[in-house]
Amino acid sequence: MAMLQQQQQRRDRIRLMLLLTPGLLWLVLFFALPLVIIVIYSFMTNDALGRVVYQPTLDNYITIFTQSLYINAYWRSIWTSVLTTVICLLLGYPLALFIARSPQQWRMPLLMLILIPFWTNFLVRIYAWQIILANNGLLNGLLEFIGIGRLSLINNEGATLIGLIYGELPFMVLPLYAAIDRFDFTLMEAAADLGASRVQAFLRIMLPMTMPGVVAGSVLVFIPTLGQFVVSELLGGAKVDYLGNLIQRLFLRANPINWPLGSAMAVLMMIVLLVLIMLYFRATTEEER
Amino acid sequence: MQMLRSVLLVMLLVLTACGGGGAATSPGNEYGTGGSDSGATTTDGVDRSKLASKLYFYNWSDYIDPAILEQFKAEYGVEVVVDTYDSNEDMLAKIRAGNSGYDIVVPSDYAVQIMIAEGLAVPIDKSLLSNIVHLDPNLLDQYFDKGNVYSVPYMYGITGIAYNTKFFPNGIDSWAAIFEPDQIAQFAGKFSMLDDARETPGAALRYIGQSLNSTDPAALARVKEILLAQKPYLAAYNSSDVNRKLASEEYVMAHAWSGTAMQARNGLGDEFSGNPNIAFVIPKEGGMIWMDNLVILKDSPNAYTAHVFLNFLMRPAVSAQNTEYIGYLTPNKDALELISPEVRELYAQGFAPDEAMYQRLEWAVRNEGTTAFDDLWTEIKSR
Repeated sequence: MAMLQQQQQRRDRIRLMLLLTPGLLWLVLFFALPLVIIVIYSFMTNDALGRVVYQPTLDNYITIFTQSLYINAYWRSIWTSVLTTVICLLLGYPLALFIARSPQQWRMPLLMLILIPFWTNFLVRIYAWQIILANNGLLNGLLEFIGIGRLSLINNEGATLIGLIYGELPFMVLPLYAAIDRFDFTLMEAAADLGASRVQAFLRIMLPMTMPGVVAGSVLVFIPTLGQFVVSELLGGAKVDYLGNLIQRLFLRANPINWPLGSAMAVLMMIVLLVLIMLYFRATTEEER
Repeated sequence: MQMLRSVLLVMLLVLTACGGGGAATSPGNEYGTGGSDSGATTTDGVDRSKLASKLYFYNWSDYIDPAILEQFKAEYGVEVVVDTYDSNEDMLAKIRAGNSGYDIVVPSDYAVQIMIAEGLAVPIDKSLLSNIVHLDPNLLDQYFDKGNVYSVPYMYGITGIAYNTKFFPNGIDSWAAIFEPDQIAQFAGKFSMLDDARETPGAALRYIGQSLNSTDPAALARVKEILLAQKPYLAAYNSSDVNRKLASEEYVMAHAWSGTAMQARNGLGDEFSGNPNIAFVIPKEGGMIWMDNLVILKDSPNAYTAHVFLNFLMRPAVSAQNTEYIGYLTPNKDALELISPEVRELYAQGFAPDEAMYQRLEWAVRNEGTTAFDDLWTEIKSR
């Protein structure tokens, strides 16, 4: 009897392994291995033609930590990502709440409205923002028409921020919607019955219970924003380097290209991300307790 | 509701995965032997039985007249598939990885040097290039490929200032017009510099009377001051769609390549129409000259067909048509007389160098010392 059970268990295990193998293989080949290569490159150096020279060194990390311009790029990117995430949250929460509280037959169409922009390539949509914000663009035409006059709307960090918020907002709204949709609103009535004000009820009942959505949305917004380089190039005028621009240039444009230094910057970016997200998780789950 | 939620989640994941991808067209690896005989006789010495059915051409964007590709196909039955890039480094990265599937690429001067050093190029069989006699000897045998063993010139250009005469009725003759704060303040947010670590510092170096290859620390310190003083007034560092932005008057002037200026002036095929107010100048302090070259890749399976295409591009009539379309300058001396009078008139107005202008033009060289330009550029962009 016991032997039969053992056999069954072994068979299950083999079946499980078989099922897992393709996924694991994929992860190892296309995630773990490239990551290892990046980490190895980050300790190497390059030659005059931009090829990686296998000569272990800490120079890349020393360069990053001793030259303010690299540190600046980290600060600029982190600050912009935090700002983007917070604004997306402030805009996204009421929006998700509105959709979740809409009559049943409206919810799907409203969600579709959030998703429809995805049918167009992100790059094309950012070019559309160029047309809107340009000196001779739509918005300036309107401003001039109503007598305010033309303003300098594009090619600054504000325009970059607008583009980022625009691009990332859906990634905040969708998880928030999923969390709010699951929330039982009779709890709010119960809180009111027990004398809580609406603000108190929101802060102590609804917000904690929809926290998983807040966390998921924030992470989904924060991570891609930290590495972005297209928006700052097309809407920001490529005038200041964000982390993504710097890494992209080191990998593709520099003369000679410098994959080791670029790799070191990418590795540090991943470490920064990991630390920030861990801190964020800890802070938000404690709030939940 | 559970159902809806999972559907949404899947959509979200799929969309996230799609979001980053550009339009990656992989050329694949069709060898295709025995090209179709289009009926033409073989008096041109081309063995049509050796032609492939397709040729993969990796070129700069907006850098060939599509009608020429049609003509090549009509004549030889070979379809030329074009993929485009925006910097030598993008191209090199793809070629270095190997197995790119491309047959011909168009590296600029210094990039030819890199490709030769890394063994990415194949020597050119000049016996297959009867039209090479049409090329201007002054533009052959350059420092990056002595004797043109691996490359032949495709187009060349010069870098100066493109401007709109509506806003500059008296013209521009000095780099001061784009660097001096008291002159650019009135055009804040309406002009651009090239997003290039050599071009933009190079322009500032010429402005202060230095060689654009100078890595003298004092000169570079001065360049940094100039560029940082200019930056608050700048719309953008832009090397990609300057032609369109000049034509639409989003920019009133731009640090630009001559061909970009020509495209802004005359339009580009049916992509956008030109602006007759656009002028181009190499300021009196001087500017850059550079050349893009045709190179056949070492791992090209269609080397013979590639040679036939190169020879076709060097026909004076073809080169004249191409140069009129893309606005850059042809190294084909026998093509010049076939170019329309309107375009030749623009050449005379500064879109092409004359003898006097040649004296103020300089090639950018790359060596160990020129990494200083990248450091400078990173600093400019860090604040």
